[in-house]
Amino acid sequence: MATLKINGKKIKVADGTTILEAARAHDIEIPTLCSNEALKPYGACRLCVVEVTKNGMTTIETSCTYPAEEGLDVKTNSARVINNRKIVIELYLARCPNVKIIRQLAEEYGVKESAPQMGKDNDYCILCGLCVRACNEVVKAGAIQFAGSGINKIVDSPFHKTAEDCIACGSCAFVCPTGIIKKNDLPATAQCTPEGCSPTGPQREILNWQVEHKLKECSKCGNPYAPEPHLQKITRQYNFLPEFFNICPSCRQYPVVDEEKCLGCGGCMENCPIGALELDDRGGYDKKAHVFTENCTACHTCEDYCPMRAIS
Amino acid sequence: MKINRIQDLSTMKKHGLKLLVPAATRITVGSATCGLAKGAGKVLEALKYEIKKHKLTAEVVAVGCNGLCFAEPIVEVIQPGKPRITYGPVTVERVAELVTSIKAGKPLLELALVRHDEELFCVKTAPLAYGKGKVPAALSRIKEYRTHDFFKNQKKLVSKNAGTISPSRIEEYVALDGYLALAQALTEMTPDQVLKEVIDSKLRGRGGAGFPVGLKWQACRTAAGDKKYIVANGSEGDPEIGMHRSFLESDPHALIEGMAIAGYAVGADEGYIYVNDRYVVALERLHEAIKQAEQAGLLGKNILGSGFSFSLKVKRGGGAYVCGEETALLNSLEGLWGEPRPRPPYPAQQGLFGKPTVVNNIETLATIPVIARHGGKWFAKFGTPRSSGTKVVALSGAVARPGWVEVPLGITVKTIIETFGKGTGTGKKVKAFQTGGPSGGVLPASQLSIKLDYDQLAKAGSLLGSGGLLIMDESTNMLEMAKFLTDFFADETCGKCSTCREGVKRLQEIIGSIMQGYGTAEHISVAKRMAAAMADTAACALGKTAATPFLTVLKHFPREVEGKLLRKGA
Amino acid sequence: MIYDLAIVGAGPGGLHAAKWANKKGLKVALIEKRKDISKITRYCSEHIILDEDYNGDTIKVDTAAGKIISTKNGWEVNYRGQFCPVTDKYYYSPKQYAVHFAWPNGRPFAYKYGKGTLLQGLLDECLALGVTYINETTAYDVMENPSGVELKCVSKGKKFKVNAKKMVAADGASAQLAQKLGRNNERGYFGFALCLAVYMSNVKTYKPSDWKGWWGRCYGTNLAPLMGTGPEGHFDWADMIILGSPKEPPEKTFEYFTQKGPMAFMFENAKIEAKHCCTTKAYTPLKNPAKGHSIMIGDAAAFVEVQAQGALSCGFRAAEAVAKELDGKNGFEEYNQWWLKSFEFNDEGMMQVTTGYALIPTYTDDEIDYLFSLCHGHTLDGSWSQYKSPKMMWNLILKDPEKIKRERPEVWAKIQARGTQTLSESINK
Repeated sequence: MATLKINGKKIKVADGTTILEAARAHDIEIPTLCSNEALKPYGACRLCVVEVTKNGMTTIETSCTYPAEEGLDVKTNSARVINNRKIVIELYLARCPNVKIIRQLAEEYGVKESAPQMGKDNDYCILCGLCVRACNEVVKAGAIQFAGSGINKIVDSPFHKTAEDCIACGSCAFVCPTGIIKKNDLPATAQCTPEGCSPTGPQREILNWQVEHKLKECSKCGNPYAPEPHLQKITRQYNFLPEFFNICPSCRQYPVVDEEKCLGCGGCMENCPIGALELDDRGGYDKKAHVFTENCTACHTCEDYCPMRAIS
Repeated sequence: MKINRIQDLSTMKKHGLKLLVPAATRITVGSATCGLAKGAGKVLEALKYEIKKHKLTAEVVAVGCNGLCFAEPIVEVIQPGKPRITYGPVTVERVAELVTSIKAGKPLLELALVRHDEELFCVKTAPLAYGKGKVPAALSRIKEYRTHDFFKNQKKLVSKNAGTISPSRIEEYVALDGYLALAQALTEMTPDQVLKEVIDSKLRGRGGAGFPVGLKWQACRTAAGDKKYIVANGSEGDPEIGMHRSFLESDPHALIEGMAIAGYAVGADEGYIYVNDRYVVALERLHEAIKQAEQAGLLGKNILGSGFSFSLKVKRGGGAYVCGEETALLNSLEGLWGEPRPRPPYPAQQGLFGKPTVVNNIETLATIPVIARHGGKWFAKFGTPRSSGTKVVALSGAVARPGWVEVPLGITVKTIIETFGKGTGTGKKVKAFQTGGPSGGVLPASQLSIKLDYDQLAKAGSLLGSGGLLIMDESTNMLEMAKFLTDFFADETCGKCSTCREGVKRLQEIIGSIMQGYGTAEHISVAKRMAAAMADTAACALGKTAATPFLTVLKHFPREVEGKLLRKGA
Repeated sequence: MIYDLAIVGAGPGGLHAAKWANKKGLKVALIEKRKDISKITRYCSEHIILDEDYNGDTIKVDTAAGKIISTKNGWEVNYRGQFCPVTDKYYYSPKQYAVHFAWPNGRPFAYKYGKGTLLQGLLDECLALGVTYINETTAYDVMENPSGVELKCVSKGKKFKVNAKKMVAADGASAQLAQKLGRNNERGYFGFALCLAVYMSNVKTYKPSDWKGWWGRCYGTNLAPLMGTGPEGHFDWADMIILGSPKEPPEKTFEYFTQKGPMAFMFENAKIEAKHCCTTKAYTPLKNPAKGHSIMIGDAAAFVEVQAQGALSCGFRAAEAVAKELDGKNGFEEYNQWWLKSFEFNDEGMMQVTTGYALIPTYTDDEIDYLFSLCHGHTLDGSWSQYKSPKMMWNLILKDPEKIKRERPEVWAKIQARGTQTLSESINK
């Protein structure tokens, strides 16, 4: 545990907490662009800077990376901090004048527009790295990365070609704060050539990484609900049975056992990947399958494996 | 030869001394990159040829750089019983003449720079005696080194071997008491005692930040962890210097010994040397030296039977300037993007592969054997109270005699330029100078009497850094210099943090506008505003000092900038 | 509490492993999902197969002393229940041409026995020895770590963990634990079958010593319905075995076979005494079932089934392997070598039999009639083996190839095109 002061308030936190986490846990708001609870702190946007006084020395530090140590005196809104934030925002405005989230920040901090002397670009990527980090740390697909360096840095697929390792999960688009990552789910499509058109089924495309993948259709409702490579990756990762994702989350229902048909063979139970089915032994040969819905993930595997078709 | 006990060093030392002060003529050629660039390789071949032709008994040895870079190619001739004579520049065309003069026993005065009747060292090593008895008249016309400006004003604590020994012969290193410090540390001192000496020496990092080395080592030593590392920073990104390259090419064993002692003090059994990939010759010499040290048993398991084991690996860096920053260097070593890591935690607690790591500059580590052997307090007697010891300073730009020297800290820039550089050499006066590379910005000639001291230079808005000293004369356009240095930062920024990446880009924009005649006072104020934010919020020293070149030019040469601004109403 | 060995599944393999591991001084936990293992519902492997060298072993049955003895793997088990000898096997074509297998003098080639009685007997021995028996518990997931395994278990909805240094997965053909360890990624997968077993009394033409199978689409399914001896205590009942799938539920096929098909007459007066069912999965076998801290034994590592005797051998050998491993010796490698050389399905050449000799869907019903007619009237050696029997049958069929070429050239063409693919190849294509 460590005790520190944030804006004059004494706060106690567990070891390993950052200043940002400590502040947010106590309703002290610090703006961020590149921070996300699911991702390791990166420290790219520099918006979350605060004043940290330690052993008599005051420095400006990013609160998302700096550990909340014993005896720190932190100021999140001092004049120096606000001034720095405004210039960071101004620099972002010069880079991305038309990005909504930057304009919102600018308004909040009273920055009208970037100084014309800085020059102006019209970028939409703020290089926060959220997409790259999500893809590499959480999804672990590693399909995209930073490319180029320094002032020419961009986010890209390898060699600016189709991202081969992309599973089209869409995490990048989900986490992007500017909306520049374009993920489109298309209904049944067709591949058309002068010779004619052949249908290709529903697809997801992520334009930025030049990726197109089929969407898996639910065997119950027919809804194209998730990209196939995404489902394949999870199936491999967790050793699910190949049939596990045939049914979409909306159609998944808990199994119901028809006790008149059930012969208590245990076939459903043997194939349940999560131990949600057990045999209710009533003596002798009188055994019936029983579903523990609190453990069941509604994968519908048991339905397939009942010889008497007693599960629906 | 295997060194199993400290006494074996004496045996190897004897062998080495016989090579340095030989019974037959020894001719050395300064073959570091600076010399090679000037043709030293060809000179060496030509010498061998001429010697064979004349059927002389003489050995031609490639040695490192002695700092007289302005007079490359350097050739030294040591004839038995005669003083050692340094010649330069000895171009290929002069070789035949030189060899003839050697055969005749007469010096080639035209090219003679200096002579050493004997060489006395600032450290405990016994002098090398070359000549015996009275010096012959012909030779007495060559300046003896103790009266030569270039030599008499240096204090060669760390660089005494450079240019004298062959970097490819461990015996020659041992001849001048090489590896004695390591042997003594392992057999007579505890790790804590070694650490104490380094703390007492008040040695500050010789690469950039000037952080007290002893404190860094102590933090690593007390950090929790079963595995620790020593990393030598040889990325040397400052554009105008090459003395660490030169060092690796001249005396690689000093670094090896220093790292082993560091490992002993801190509790690390493995070290990495990170070297700029362009330094082809340095890498070759380093690999060779490590192999020889391993064969001698001075690297590897259970060194000198002490129970201490230390091994070294060499890693090549891509040459990015930002990888000179210690956490970016660690990332690069690990195969990740060369971007700085957030601190804390510092490398001493969580460094290479997450383990406690000491990252030190090559020169810092090469200074360690001297401190271990002579004691920290002895080292602290040199230099100034807060900037102790000596420093290798690389002199370049508008100087008559570019090269490097080792001087006690506290010496003034003016003294260096006049004593060693011998003025600008261009006929023009000094206009400005730069210390510490692009992060140091520029300082005006009016501050030439500033001392080479970490704190003084920092107070003046510059830094000591790695010891580069760039001289600019009156022909330099300071605004163009600001542009050149800002462009350097724009090329070298890693681009991770917004302030540095965007800030440097906008600075380029502003300087460009000013140079094209569209600049206004507003441009200046925007630049100052950005510079303040960069200094505060950038993730590493590159970003924090990227605006320094422009700011210092603004501060010290205001008329050159304001003169180009649009006047109101114009 | 960390066990030396956790065994999942109190079937013949798991029980035998538990007994012998305990005898070797290991601390054993036996985890079983059922409450009462004597009430068998999985109808299969209720025969002791007497073929010589069947899956690397020759089993002897001492009906008087009540023992089942392995002559090559060195174990014997007590069995206090009833035996029924099986002496004749018939494969029928649509028109009732029969391929007949039997030894002379009525020597049995198999014994029907009561698996429930066998298992209960083994369990009683294990309990007497002090094996920790954790029943009504399903081990549904497993994780290996450097020091052993952690089994995730659930009993009556409550989850808990069991830790052991080693694990024997005797959880049967569903191979769930192998799945969780990622071992099934090494195997080809054919699919799963749903099985229905119906015990009926008063079935016409039924004899307890017979084993019959019907090949032909006219019987209502591509997977030959089978009829064998009834259960212990009721060898007079017929045991009807039907295979199916979710699209072709075995119930429907049963209805058709007993009420509408060509053999419906057998069931005119028959009464259904009991119904059981189970599922089975077909994977190619695991080449090295002992790996890391776990051994997959028996059906869990096999191509479909090893039979009770195979499972008993696996359990016996696995106990030895684990004891050796815990003693610092390479027991796992020994186990893998034994597994590879013992079971016929590990021999790619043997597996060719299964593809090459398959009748359906290659041949039409009429062609099956023709082929079987060439065998009709002969009696081949009494063999249970699903590898040896088709081989003998085809050798007889092909005794006079010119005859087939002459009379039924299109059948000959099909025989030629049988191909030389191995089973794995045909799946992985």
